[in-house]
Amino acid sequence: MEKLAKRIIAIVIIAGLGVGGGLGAWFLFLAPGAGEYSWSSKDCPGAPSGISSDQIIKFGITGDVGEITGDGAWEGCYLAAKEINEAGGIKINDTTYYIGVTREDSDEANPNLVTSRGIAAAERLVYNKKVQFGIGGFRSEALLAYQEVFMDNEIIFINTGAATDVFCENVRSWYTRYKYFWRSMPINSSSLGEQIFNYLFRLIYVLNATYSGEIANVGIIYEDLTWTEDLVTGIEYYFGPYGPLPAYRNMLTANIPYDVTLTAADMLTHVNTLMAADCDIVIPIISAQGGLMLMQHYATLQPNFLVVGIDVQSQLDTFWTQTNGDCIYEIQMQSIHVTNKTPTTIPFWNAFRAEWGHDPLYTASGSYDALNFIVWAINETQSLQAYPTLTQKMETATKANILANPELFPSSVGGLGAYWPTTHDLVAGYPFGFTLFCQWQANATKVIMPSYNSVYIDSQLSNIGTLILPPWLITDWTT
Amino acid sequence: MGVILEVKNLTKKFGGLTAVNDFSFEIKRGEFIGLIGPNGAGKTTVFNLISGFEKPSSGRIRFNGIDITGMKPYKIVNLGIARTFQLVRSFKYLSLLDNITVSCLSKRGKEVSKKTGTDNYASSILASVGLIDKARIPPIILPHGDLRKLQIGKAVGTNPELLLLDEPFSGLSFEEQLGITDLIKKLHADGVTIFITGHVLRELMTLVPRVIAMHQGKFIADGPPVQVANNKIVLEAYLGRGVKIA
Amino acid sequence: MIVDIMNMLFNGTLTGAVYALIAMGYSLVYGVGGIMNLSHGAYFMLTGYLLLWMLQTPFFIGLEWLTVVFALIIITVIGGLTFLLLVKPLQDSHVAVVIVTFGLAFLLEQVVLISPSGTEVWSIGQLRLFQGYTMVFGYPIVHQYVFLIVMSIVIVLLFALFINKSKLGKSIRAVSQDREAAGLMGINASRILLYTVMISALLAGLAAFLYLPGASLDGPSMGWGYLLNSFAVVILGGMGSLIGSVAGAFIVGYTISFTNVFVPYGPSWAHLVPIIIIIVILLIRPQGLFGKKELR
Ligand SMILES: Nc1ncnc2c1ncn2[C@@H]1O[C@H](COP(=O)(O)OP(=O)(O)O)[C@@H](O)[C@H]1O
Ligand SMILES: [Mg+2]
Repeated sequence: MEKLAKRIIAIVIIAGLGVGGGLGAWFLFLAPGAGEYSWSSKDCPGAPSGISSDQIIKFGITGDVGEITGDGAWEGCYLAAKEINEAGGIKINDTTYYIGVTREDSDEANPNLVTSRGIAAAERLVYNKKVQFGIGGFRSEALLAYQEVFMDNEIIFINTGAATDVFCENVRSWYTRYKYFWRSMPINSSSLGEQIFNYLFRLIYVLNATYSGEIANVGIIYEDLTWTEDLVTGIEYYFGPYGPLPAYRNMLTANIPYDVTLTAADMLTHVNTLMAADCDIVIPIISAQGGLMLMQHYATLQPNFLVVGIDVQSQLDTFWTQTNGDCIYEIQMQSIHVTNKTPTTIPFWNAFRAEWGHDPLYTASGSYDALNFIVWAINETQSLQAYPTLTQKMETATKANILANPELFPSSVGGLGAYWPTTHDLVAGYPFGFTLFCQWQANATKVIMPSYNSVYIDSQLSNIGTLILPPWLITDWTT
Repeated sequence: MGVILEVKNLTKKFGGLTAVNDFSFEIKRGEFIGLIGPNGAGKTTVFNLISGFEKPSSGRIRFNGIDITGMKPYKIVNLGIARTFQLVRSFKYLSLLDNITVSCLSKRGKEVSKKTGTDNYASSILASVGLIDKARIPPIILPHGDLRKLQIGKAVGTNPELLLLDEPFSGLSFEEQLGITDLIKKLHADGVTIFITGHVLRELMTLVPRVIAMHQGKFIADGPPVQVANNKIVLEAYLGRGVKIA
Repeated sequence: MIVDIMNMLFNGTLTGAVYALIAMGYSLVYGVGGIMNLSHGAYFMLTGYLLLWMLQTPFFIGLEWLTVVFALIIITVIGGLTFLLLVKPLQDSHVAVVIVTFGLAFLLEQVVLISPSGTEVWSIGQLRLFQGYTMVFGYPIVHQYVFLIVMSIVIVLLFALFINKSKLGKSIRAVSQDREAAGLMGINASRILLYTVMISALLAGLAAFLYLPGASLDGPSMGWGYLLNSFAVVILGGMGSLIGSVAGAFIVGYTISFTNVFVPYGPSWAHLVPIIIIIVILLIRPQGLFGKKELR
């Protein structure tokens, strides 16, 4: 029996490894795109048929196929390419070019991440599909590994999903290698942390004025992943013993990092821990299924705290049906919603919904802006040379230049798209990169919250609604 | 009386070794018949072939006129052939009663148990093998003789027409042997055809009116025990291996 | 403090109740047929998605409970087909069975993934039988989970009764203890194995129905986590031992919830607990706490 059990385990492990290896091999060699890829009009939405490969400017999109983040990156690029192609493509030295888009599955939303799949995806884009530009990325751990493929090959890559600070710091510290790297979305983690703190600082102030100082404790619950690290460090600082504002010091009473494979029972434990810690506001920093679990337990237990934070799944309109409405009252940050962040935001929103039937995720608006940004630089320079021509052109999209001559720069939908020339990072802060705080309210509506001018100037944006507190919270805070 | 079992040109090869070699015989309904031969003669293999535990290399087996060659064991049981093993096999962690109950739930067992009730039927078999006072305990703690009885009881539960008993006496004390002998005689009296093996000729001499002898997989003799025991080849086979005959 | 203890106890019981149902069937199939069915976690996952798909179909509006009946029937049939089409032809080779059931689990995952709902997380809260909670020692006891725990205990007891007292149960145990001898009792061992795999799929399906409405569908890959944890449970309890699976399930449940509640930063690695258990048990007591492959 002992022998048998051991043998069986050995077999399971061997089989697991064998099949895993097989799958790896499949991803590497047999997946679509093995061998030379031939580009044609089918890769160019909105382009006339019969165009040849050398008339195509080739964009490769990395992301997790079948996950909302990776699909968002693809959908945004696709829409941008389609609009440009339908408008006749672009002319470089009197030759007409069309925008081609192709994607590879980096599997980076997988809780059991295998970074080699991301590398394989990037290699297929670069070596088999010979892309000239890259757009995408979501999970920092994965992107950190596969960005090197683009850097090695001197291909401009714009990240539209990973918030970790380190990426753009690389550009500053080792410009010769990382100068091809950019980030169009989201603003980096430190800036996100700052914006969420600025908002909470005002929100707590307003609530305490209304409910005579009821808000005393804050809790955070977050995925134990690279992308949350900087954010958490920020929040721990602002609400910790050495925070900049004395009134907010020591407010942090619960600090729960969890592994992304958690189950609903685990989340129930955590929600109870948050309740036991007397939290009045809980800040989730979540990209995966934990957000749904959190809100489910929230709806059932009606705990005496408000949920304000990052919940990526909750950014999509479908989250209401996915949770059966349990997400009601959640306030979460999203880069884009139906409001005039820029003059093109709402037209983009509508075009995107018409094309894809659902709201755009931040990776979608980011990839849309990224593609347009590159095409703008190509148009302006009449060149496809990544460095120095295009890079130097793109580096002129600074805060100062855009404020001085906005008409000279491409319009973007997620906020005025300005970049720091030394880090290639998206500039954060109104009216550039800033986040919207949105609350789920009755009947599946998602309403943009006033930020009390902490993150955006409320009067400058359309469709700002009002905060609605859960009735049980009002009861608790008024009695 | 009709033929119940017909074995024709049965051969079983294990690699280079021919354990059963072109073996043929017939058994009539209601007979009480022995299969003898020294250790390694091929007796167990013959039983394995009849009960479907092994597939013959060639040859045919008919039961009540139905060709059962190569059939699955459970199907053969359900046609009416039960067997016991030389090495006792039982369900170690089921109670004795449940051990019997399982066999009473077989297709043919059910025909009886439906009328009398499964528990009654199982209890009556357990009583007839003399183990009723141990109905609730699992076989894992039983002495060897009781296990033999249990095995026979389990075979009986399937309500067989033909019962194959492989070396039912081996390793038993004299008293235990007597108990089993009585049990087998009773079964035969109830109309079950009995086919029994033994490698010690003496054990079977008084019990059965007819024996078949085999050696090195081959048929040697068939007839009343006294006649077979005096068969020259049989004598040689046993003497050659240094085994006492009588 | 009392709240923390309540938190640990209740969630441990909850987790244990879920794993008891899942692991019991997994262990049963191994105990009876020596079959390592790696698609067991996928049954759990698929039941959840079957429920979701039916709930999304207009036909079932007003007939929500019918989805449960259908889902359980379908998963039981899938269990049966797994045995007939994949396991039975290969059952002489452990490796082949492991590989083919692994392949099936992978296939089911991919099928769910390409379905319209495969890429998002979902709630099937419509199927929650009980709403709300009751405060006990300052701790909210969620009614739906109380229902789950009670039902799980009832099912475990019924199942024990079934295995020990029913005729089919006795045959199942007979096959588990000596398959050849069971054949000699006229038992068609293949048929019994078929029933066993179907019962185990049904148990996985029941676990899904009882747990997922109060939890969530976390994506098509969620089955693997449950498979791994069931594996830990049966290794701990002893492969094939039913008492062992139930005891193992609760031990694993309490260990996870203890880690979540009392260990600093425990939630970051609570999921490793089952793997640690597997390794430790294999090192010190490979036969598991309750040992024995045969069903007693
Ligand atoms: N499964 C097997 N594989 C190989 N050889 C076998 C097998 N079963 C029996 N034998 C051989 O066949 C011969 C007959 O064995 P058996 O039928 O057990 O004899 P008996 O029952 O008369 O003592 C022996 O030489 C034995 O070693
Ligand atoms: Mg023998």
